[in-house]
Amino acid sequence: MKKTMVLLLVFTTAFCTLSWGLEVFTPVLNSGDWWEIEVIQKNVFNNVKKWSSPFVLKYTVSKADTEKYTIDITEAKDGNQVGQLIILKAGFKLETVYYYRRVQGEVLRQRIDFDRKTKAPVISEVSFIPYSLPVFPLKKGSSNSENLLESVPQKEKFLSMKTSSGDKFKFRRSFSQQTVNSTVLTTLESAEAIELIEEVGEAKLADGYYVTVKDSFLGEKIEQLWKKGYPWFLYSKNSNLKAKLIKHSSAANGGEK
Amino acid sequence: MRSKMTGLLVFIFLLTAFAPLFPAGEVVSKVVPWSGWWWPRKKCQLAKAGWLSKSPLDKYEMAFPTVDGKKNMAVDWEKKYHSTRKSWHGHCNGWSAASIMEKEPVKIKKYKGIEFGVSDQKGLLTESFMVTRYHFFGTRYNGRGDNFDDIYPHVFQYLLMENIQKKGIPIVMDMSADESVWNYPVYAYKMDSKSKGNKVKVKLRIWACDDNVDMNFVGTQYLTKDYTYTLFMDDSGTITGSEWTGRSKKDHPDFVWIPYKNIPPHEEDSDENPWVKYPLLKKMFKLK
Repeated sequence: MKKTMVLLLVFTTAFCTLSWGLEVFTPVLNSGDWWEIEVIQKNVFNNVKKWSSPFVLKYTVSKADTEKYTIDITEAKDGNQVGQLIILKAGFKLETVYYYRRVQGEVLRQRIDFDRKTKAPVISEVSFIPYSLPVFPLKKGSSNSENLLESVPQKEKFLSMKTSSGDKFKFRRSFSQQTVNSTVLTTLESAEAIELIEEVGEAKLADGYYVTVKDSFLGEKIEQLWKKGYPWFLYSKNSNLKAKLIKHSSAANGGEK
Repeated sequence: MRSKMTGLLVFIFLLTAFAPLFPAGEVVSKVVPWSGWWWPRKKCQLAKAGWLSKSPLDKYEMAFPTVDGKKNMAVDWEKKYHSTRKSWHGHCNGWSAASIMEKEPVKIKKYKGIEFGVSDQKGLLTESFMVTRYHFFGTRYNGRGDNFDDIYPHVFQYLLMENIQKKGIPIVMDMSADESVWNYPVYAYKMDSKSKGNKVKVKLRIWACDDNVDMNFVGTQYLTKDYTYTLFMDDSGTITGSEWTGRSKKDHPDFVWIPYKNIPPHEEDSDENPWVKYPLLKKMFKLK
């Protein structure tokens, strides 16, 4: 009995130590927060210039109640609304996306719902609005520690980093009336991070969370860099689009940065 | 006996699991795009009158002698940047986007006393939709070293079902698997399939809106294309891959895109005539 108690105590202490050491990150937003993302899209109809000129999308938290965030997305240049995101506060999980699109002279509001119960990354497919999200909270100090950029990296060090096997998630992709499962891998790779250094700078990489999501169905890979203190990803990339955070303003933290 | 039973059960499972993947009969989108001429760049007909008394851009310059306080140079720009290109270079992407996003011009409209026929209106809309915000799937094949097989058939089927069946809105596909690009809005499809083990063999027919029409054509002239492919699935019904088969190995869609919003061109993009302003066209043709 005594032995069992001692063992239990040892295990509990060990578990608590591990838990305390676990650093987790989930973005927290307030009503009135806004940020701007600069986007370039592959210029598929122009062989000379491979990427489009940059355009800026502004994300504004128009509502933050106890359960959800409502984020309006407008094109910064003309102020036209192009989308809206409804994100559950718990787990920063995307519940619904609205697109505004022109069809036969009318502006349609198109709705895409995501399964709020399934724990899986959200993949924006190849939308011009970047809203792909990894599974939150992002964990630091867990068994997936390879996933994290613990310190300002040297390029050489980056290249020698090992790739973690990652977590596997299944999510439901509708395929007519039938639902088809597609496996999504959340894993971390390092070689591509060289580009990140050029895009966001080494200082911002420190203590960042670098996530890659692989969608085997579409053959798509999404890379993102997240960091505490920022409302949205610092950088995101897929085969067709590159996006980076250029401005952000938090109502709670003293305005624009 | 036991293995026969297992085989039968697996067969029944595969039959019931995969059958609903394929809708019977034709599936037609709620929105049907309109046909329009593809304005080949070699002829530069948007700027050069030819047998037309005035080209669409001539009339546009007459209607708006100045744009943003500068002399309207739409004709010169078109002659400089949208002519003397390869034989297949044209305006098919602009027409494809316009035919989904705008109502079809069906009658003559007058602005400042200038008559704009159906061909003028379709031509100017086509030019102003050359640059749009779009969702894009697959990769463009530009020659050796690029992936010729992409777009893969399971992704293509998924896009047909998600957009034409579920949302009722057409998609645009590059019908040519090689370096040339021939964009067409696809608004209907039909599928037949046969399952064998973990493979599903599919015959697909798509209906695309045609741009090989008279400049003043009104309505939708269609063309059809037939494709064959195999889907590979695991025992749980998850699609693990797919491949084009038969003639479709060499003749299949290259990429798919879905236009969402018309945007003003960036000067350096040079894919859209920067003098043709969409807000001016909206005003001129009383578009919503």
